[in-house]
Amino acid sequence: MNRNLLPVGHESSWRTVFLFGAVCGLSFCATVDARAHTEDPASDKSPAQVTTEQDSSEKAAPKPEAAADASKKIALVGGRILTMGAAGTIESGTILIEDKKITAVGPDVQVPVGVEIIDVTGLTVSPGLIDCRSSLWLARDSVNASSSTASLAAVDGVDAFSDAWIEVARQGITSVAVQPSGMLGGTGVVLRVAPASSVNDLMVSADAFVQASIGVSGASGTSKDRFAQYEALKKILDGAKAYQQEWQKYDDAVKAAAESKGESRTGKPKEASAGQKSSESPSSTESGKPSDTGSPSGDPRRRMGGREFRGRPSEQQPADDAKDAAQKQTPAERQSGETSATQADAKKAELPKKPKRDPIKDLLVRVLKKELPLHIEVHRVDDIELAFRLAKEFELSLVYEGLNRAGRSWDQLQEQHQPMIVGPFVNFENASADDMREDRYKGLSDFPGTMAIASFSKDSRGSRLLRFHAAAAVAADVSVDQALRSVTCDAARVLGIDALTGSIEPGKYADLMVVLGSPVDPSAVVKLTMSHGKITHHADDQPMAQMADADSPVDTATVPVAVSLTSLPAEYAIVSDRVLYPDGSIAAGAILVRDGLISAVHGEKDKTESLKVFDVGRAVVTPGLISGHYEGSGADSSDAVAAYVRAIDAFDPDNQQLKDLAFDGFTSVLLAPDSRSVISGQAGCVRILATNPVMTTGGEPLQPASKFVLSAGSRSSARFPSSLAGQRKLVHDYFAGVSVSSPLYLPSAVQDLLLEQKNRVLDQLKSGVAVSLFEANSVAELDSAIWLTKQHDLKAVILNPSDVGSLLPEIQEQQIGLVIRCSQITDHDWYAVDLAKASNLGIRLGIAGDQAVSIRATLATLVNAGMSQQAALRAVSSDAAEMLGLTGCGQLAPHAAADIVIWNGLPTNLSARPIHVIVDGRLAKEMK
Amino acid sequence: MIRLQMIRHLIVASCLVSSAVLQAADEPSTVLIIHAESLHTGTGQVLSPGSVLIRDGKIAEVGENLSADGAQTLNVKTLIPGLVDASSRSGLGRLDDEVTQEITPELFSASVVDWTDRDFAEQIAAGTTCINLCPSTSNVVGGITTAAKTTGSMTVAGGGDGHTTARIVSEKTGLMISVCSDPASGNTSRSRPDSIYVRQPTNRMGVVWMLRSTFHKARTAADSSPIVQEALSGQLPLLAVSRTQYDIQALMTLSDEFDFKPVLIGGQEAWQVTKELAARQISVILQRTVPGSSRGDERTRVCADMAARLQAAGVRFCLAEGDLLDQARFAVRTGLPAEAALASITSSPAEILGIGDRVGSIAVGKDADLVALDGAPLAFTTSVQWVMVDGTLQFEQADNQ
Repeated sequence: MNRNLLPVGHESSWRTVFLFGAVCGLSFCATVDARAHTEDPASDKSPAQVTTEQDSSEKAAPKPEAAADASKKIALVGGRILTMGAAGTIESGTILIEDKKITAVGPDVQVPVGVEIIDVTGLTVSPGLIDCRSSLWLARDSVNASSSTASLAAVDGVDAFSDAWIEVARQGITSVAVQPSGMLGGTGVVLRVAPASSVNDLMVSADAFVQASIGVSGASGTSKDRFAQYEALKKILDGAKAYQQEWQKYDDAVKAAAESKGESRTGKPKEASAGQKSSESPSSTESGKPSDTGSPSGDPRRRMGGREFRGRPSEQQPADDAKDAAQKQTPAERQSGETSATQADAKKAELPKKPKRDPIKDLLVRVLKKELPLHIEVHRVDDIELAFRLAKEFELSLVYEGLNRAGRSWDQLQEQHQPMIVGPFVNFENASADDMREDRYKGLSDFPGTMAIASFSKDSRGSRLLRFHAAAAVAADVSVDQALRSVTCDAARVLGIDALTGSIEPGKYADLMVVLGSPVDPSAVVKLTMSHGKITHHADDQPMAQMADADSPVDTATVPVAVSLTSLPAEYAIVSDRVLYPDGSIAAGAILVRDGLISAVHGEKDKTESLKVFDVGRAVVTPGLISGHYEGSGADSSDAVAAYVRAIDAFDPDNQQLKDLAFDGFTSVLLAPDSRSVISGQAGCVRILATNPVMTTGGEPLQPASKFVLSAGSRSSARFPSSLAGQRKLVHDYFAGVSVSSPLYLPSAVQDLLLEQKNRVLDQLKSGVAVSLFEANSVAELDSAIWLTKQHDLKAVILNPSDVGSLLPEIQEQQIGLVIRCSQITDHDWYAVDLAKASNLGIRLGIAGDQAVSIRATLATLVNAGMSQQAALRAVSSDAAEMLGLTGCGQLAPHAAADIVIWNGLPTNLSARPIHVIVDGRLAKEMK
Repeated sequence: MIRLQMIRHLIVASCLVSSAVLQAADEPSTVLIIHAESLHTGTGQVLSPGSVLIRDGKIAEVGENLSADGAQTLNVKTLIPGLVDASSRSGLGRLDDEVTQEITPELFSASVVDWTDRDFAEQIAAGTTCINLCPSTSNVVGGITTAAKTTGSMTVAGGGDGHTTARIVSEKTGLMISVCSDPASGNTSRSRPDSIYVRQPTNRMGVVWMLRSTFHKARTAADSSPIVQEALSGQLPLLAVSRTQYDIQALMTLSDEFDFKPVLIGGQEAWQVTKELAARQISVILQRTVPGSSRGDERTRVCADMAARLQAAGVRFCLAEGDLLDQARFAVRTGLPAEAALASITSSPAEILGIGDRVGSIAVGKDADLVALDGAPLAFTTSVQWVMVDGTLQFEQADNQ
């Protein structure tokens, strides 16, 4: 009920002592924990070094600034620091933070007295992550606001009171770039990820760039539409260019006139020099020339404009004003110039007509002058070509975005050396096979220019998945280092904020994340996030379940796999330091394969005698993994009772999605009927790519489960039932043996056959031989599923539960397994936390999905939320097999089919990838 | 979201972190005595002072100044019974209606209630401890109504098979039928059906006809619905939703025809037919109307003093559908005597639903469902101090520590 706010104990190894109330922006959590911490004053082991703020203010009472927030000094001590700057990686160092900024970084930094110390020993500190394409802070109706005339400014769509930032900060993100959409949307803005009461609190860079796109919105698939967009862009830029020239001409004329006038004038030398440039045109007092839209005006964000200056307005405004004044004139001076009527009279005769001012064209002139970069989102080859043409024609400084299907344009992109923002690497929002092409980022690993990785999310909380995208990039052959740079220092460079943030160096803002593991492993828990020296996320404040692996850490590292399995004989052994055992543990072992079956599994590496031995070193060897639910082709929904349907009958061995699943390491699926009938039929088991893919038992296809749909999908107002009460009654009657007849006309022989089949299935379900798979989402639906399980003493699994928190005791008591749908952008963090809790209670989980990457992303999310690595690994192997009755799948055990996957890291780590997939003892595909 | 959860958290926290005395009340096995400056039994009786002795979640004794060895004591200003709402759709709001059939007497709405729904927490905070869960009015014969406590275990609810949980007060409080335009709304008659699934009825007369044929079948055919048979024979109350006076008349025609005594739900125009209702001893579960408006659901004509008029005519009635204390306060303002108003949200609904033996009044043997107030029960300035269900404290006003 109050899952986000229950304070959890802080008995973790990670010791902190500081006064939360003063530091923490998390108002509510902070107050809760502040109480807890003050009650527990002596939790640090090195009291000599530690000084809480309370202490310092008592001891140093005369110093008035000690209590002030601005002079807050913090030291992060003992962490492995990935500075992302010239200092490289510091294995154990200290970061000193004062007044929002980093003042010192290094292995031997002395911590002065009175500084609050945060011990981060054993943890990794990296710069806070930057998402270059985010929708955080945008009000819901602003997310898709688009324009073709550059009229929009993302800053105008900001909802500073949105609390979506909390989950984003939880994943270590400290800065996001948001922008309008459309062919030429307008100005983008870079914002912090921190609590705020106004947009100014969030501002990193006000008008950071101008957004454009070709072929992304408003264009159909045809090249004609895309070309039309290019033409339109070209026309607008042509217009801006003409405007620029017109003003240039006018300014030159004014200048010339002023010079001649200045020579003739003697009386007021000071004023003459002041009024030289623009004294004759009243409107130009606001902006002396087209490029000066950033000069002082009433608009706060305009005041901060300009690439050269990117600070917070409150601090640097005076300096900016002074600079403006020095460059041009103060308004007062100009005013005095204007009042000179005689000058105006004299000038009128000589000057060309003054051009009209156009703020949008002023903006585009800044783009043409390369003062503002143009971010252009292009994905397809033809769009990229058009962008190339645009860049060449107007000599633009472009930042290419997206590049999902760059294909043969890739070489050219590399030559151009222009910065890029690539992504999304995993399309969580609209998953389709097309977005997941493997060769999509060919060459990404050796890209010589500046590259950023971004989420491209349209969801306000989508940026929290940035680490998934970075990990997926690693899986696509980008080095870990480059992936990390792409979300830190390089991302800052692309956005032009590298002078402020993006690396851990003195003078930069203290935007940091502290993580247990690698920053680009999304399953690694972020312990602390800091923005401008203030803590925006603290793992001990959060309801995240305690890390179940804390005592026995699992080796999650990715390693290069050198062994090449070019051809496999009929009999061989695979030995590895890291083999996944049915209990979820990872240990050394040897798997002996003979004639497509596993003949033996040894717990030690050297127990293999005279066989052909493939030693894969530290590569991870797992069984072929399991997707716990894959919906086959659709059945007829007109009938609520479709008990006679067998999903296996609709199995298509050439289904590309299934093949891709297998190539990505998931070789077995529970093939289930679709969800449009209440009693929707029997699910089968398929071993993809196998010689005989359909699993059988005693000559008949294995039908381990029957599916019952209690969710909205099977409700229809055109037939009974259209309500949950009706669904429940129907399923109850089915189990109770009440005739639930089908209105279909069938010959009596067929009816008898179906009746016999129905009774057989019913017997299996009621005796617990077969699994009853209930699809249920809401609490009431889950409640009904549990009730039916209890009533009929079933072996049950619930599919797609959405809110299990309040029902966990019941689920545990009934020993019901849960099959989780893949993590979706809409899931809140508490969902994963509930499931992690369920797992820690001993409830078995499985993951349903069509794509390996989404299944593994779900696993990573669960581990991040507190599920143990072992349980997560079991969820796609032994647990899934046992709870769904998929005997012979998902386990490296004697007599099982030799479906083996060799990975360069743990499947739960999204940056790992399968290197070899073996099905029936034979190599399914060689990837690298 | 977070702000909401914060509020929720505060509520929970305030329930957990109670004062020492009240914490004792969290133990249902403890003997507890509550002393009140004035104790309203809900049946018209007022004890000043009054006290209640609670043992094992039940009221063991009621008197002026009780005492017992080792008993925890609590002092309050005013004590009233937990309120009973005779018509509620809490926890059912988002579920689809079974519109594929018109006659669904076996449907148990209570079996698909989301017990975690926020509605329940809000009801507890407003003093309502027992509600009657009703199916929707979209079917002619809607289904079975169930009386349940507004708080209790989150465990799986009953399904009409005797597997009830402690939270259910009575699994079957009645069979709900709709004698109004709701089941017909949206259905249109066609000369040629577009599909084999054409939903009836299409008008009010059709509604009555369907009821008549259902009742007739129940009387004549042995294999007809046992629930309908039970209801017609008077073993199970027949709760009829009718709002306009002509629907109420139609209901009375049916009741005369098949000789049953219905309970009226809705009753916005019941004040126009008080004599007939009184003559047939038909009770009314009066659905709320927006104060100040002259039109209710189905464009019924309502008057501000409906409750007072029913009372004057001798019709047994109760107030229902949420905000019970406020509704009773308005009724008092428009002429209903205060004790009658309090009865209309406590003992009257319990009696009408046939659950008066467990809830609705402060009397020996009843469930210890109690509400403590800081003033006269029906004064607008009075607020709920704490709410107890089955002898366990379930809600406490945050500033009452």
